[in-house]
Amino acid sequence: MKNNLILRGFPASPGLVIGKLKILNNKVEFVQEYDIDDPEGEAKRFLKAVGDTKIDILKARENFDKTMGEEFKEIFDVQIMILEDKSVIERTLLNIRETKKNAEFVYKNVMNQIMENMTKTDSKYFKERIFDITDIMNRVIKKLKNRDDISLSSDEKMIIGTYTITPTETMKFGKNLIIGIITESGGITSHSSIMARALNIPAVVNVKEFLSNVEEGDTVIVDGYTGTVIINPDENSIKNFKKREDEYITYNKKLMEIKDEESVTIDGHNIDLSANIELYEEVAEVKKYGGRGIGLFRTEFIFLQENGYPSVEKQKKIYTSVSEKIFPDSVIIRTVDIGGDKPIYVDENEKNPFLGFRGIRVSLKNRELLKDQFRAVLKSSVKKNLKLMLPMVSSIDEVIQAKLVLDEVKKELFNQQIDFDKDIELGIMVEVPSAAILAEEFAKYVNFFSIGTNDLTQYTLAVDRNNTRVSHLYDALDPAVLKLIKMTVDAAHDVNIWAGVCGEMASDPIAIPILIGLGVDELSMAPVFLPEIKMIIRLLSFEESKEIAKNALLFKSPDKVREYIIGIISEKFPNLRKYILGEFYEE
Amino acid sequence: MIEKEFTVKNKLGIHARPAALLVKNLGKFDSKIEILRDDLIVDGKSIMGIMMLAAENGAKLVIRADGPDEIEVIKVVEELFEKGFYEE
Repeated sequence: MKNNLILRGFPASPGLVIGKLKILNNKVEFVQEYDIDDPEGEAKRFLKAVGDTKIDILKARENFDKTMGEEFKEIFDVQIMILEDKSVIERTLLNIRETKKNAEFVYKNVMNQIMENMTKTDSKYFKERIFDITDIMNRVIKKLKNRDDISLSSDEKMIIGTYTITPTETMKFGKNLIIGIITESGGITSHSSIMARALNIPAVVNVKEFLSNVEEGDTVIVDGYTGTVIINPDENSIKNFKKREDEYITYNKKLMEIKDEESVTIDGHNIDLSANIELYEEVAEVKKYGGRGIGLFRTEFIFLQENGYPSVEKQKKIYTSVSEKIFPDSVIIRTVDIGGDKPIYVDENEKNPFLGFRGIRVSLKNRELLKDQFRAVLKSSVKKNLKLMLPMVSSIDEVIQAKLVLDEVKKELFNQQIDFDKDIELGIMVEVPSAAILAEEFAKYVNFFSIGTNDLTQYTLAVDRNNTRVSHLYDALDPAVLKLIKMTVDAAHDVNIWAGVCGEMASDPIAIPILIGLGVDELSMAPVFLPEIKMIIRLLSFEESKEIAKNALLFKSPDKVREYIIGIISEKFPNLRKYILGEFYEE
Repeated sequence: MIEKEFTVKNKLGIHARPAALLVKNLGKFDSKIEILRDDLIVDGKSIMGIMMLAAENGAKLVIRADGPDEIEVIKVVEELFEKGFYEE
């Protein structure tokens, strides 16, 4: 057992928690093969394991319903069907009787045979199902081995440690059972991180060597602010944790007090604060943290759930509910940005997904897909608070093409006498350097810009932040990135359109004075960050920020920019310092 | 015994959800139900079997029902295929 081992990863979802670790192993359970004397008894043992597993799934479903709502229930129904599948059960019972081998061995063989057949079919839709089937198989085997899956049978809250966790798995456990998440792989912008933020579960991702350093049942501290994990903390670390937790609670209380105040600098300059969301369920979070509009509604999840082709009706239902819930504030719906790393619209994995077939490129090649999404948004736009946004735009022609498609759909709806917002605004994500460099031209064609700083940084600096060998080079405060942001904002203001930031930079306290000083009109972020950013804005002055931004652009490295900003923040907001810098564990 | 051929109309083919819907509907019948695709024959009341067919959009499947309520079986299957498994 390791004691007080401190490991670092990326802070994926804020929060501080201590608890017992549950290791979620996605690997297939190992089983032994042996002969049995009593096949009937073995058959009974198998059926009991199936029955017990079903009870667990039903329990999980109950937990899940309370937190996530009814519409995801289907996931569990399919699981139960796989579990109780007639041909699997019949074949297993038959083979137990014929071969006189133990149930776990026979059952695993039967399941493996079926899965093998499925992988042969080379259909991409079944890949994810295989994962579900393995999950069911593991659960039944664990029951047979008398090793209870504490994740489902106990009501104890736990911290999940795993190589990677899928959104489905996160949802499967629900907020009631998981209090923290630690993964060995993944990035801050990966789906599991987004899910963790949506469910408000503290998470640290990309913790190298985590699983080889822990055992199930270890006590761990998850610090989702600084991306720190402490395994079996000693007395001192626990004391520190408690102190920090207290500070955090006080700090949070203070933040929640100002959450509904105006987001305005001391010299009266207004900044629009809006939320990034991906799930309909997150709308409640937006209100909870005092957010108003939605600056980025990602539609990837809707598409992934439907294997890439959600119907117009299904989309319309979601967009309409979000529009109604957020009214009178507005919602920016981003057309689907599914890249080559999620092989839905392409047959093979791409070597370079980030430079590949993704975003608007996919939509323009699959016009019907884009049309369907435009149809759904327009049909949901009667309250006139929806806006459209295109991702991954790299050339003017893409904007022109997309506008032609939009006009076509508008005409179609007009002819069908369907009511919609004829003046719906269309904007683009500025996340490819070419869009920032040519912002002046793009500004003539669109109603707004939203700067996606995550991708803009990775493309400008040519750094894949999920690649640990180069991730230290990734820094949104790089003067090169700051300059592109300035160009974009200036170009927007020249033609009187607005420019926002919807990348993680918008929720990075250090970046706020610069972004405001550069003239950014709107900041959009995960709802949970809204109160803190609002507090920072309310303590800043616009004039002073302009000065800060001007100076920041003169530095030659991101470190120098950071050093400069930290100096200023320490002077002005000493209380924020340790939260921003994560200095806690070095104390 | 009745046999009838159907073409998969929904965009995504018979993935997990339609397969589950099919099993839910077919499980109620007393007849023996088999689904054939080329030389693969699976039990129509088994979700794993149906998923093994990996029936994509445009795939042709033969439903074979044998038993007292075989006519009803075909009717129900007809409706599900016709409506694209209520996915559109």
